[in-house]
Amino acid sequence: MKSFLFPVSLALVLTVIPATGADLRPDEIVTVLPKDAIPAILRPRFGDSKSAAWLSGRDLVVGVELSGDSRAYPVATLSHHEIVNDTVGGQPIAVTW
Amino acid sequence: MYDHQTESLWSHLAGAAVTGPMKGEKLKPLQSMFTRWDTWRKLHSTSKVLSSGRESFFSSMRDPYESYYRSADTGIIPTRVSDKRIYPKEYVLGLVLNEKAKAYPFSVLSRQPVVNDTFQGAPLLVIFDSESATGAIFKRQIDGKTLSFKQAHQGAEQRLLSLTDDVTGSRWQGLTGTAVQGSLKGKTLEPIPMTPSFWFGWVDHYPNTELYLHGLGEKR
Repeated sequence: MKSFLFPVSLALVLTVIPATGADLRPDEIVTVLPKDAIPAILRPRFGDSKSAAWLSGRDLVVGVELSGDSRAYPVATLSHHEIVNDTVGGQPIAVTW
Repeated sequence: MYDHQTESLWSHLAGAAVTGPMKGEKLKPLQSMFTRWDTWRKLHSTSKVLSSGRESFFSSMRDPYESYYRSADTGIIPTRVSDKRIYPKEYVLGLVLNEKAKAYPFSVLSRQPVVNDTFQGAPLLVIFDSESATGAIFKRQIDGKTLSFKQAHQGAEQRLLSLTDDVTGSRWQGLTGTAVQGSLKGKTLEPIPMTPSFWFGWVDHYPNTELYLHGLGEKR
């Protein structure tokens, strides 16, 4: 489901720490799509930059680098999946869009 | 978004669980860069790229939201908070420190690409590379010493934003916060995770957010 349609890029690590700050209003959650209508990527596959001939230099990406492990997630692909569950530099992360 | 383990619902902008067994928990934000592929490649030549499995079908690779990004539409459900200090679909770099929010609009940063700021007591460097429309935020301290930066106009590597600091005069790569020349060569500023977002979404999640407007020439 999604409550808002706007692009936001984040890389998040899956360890939980309690914190607030955002004004989150559960009573305003509206279901606009069935669950998994936009399927998250659970087992991402990667190529090297040479294999990405389909990507033009001006295309937008979300780039993550952890412990020397660097990865680019093209925004056009992220728009089709909204979430990529990955492990980068040994850390389990979620890339959300 | 939801997690498979507990089916709790999470706000993807805030990285916090809103309902379900994980309610109140928050994911740790990590640094990421929202940028152009050619800029990322210059900075990380060995970077891997996510495959979509459909690279041979160019039409399916187009972003279905391209016209939405350019439009004035603010999502499919009305926001509860509306703040017209800047255009709702303006991009901002959103930052949360000590549960307080601050946003730096791209329109301001494009005119002021190096901002030495202090927020929540932390000395921050906010940079913006206009060529690629890429922003980043760092803590502007090395070994406990606070530095102030300005843009360097000569010797920029690969035409990316280059800076010098006021204490040592070392030259820094702006997008990575790494000193490439001078007595601080090899040092890297601590990156502060931030979220590039449309203003309307950011202010709806953080209604009391500060907004950086210096250099716009008018008070709002």
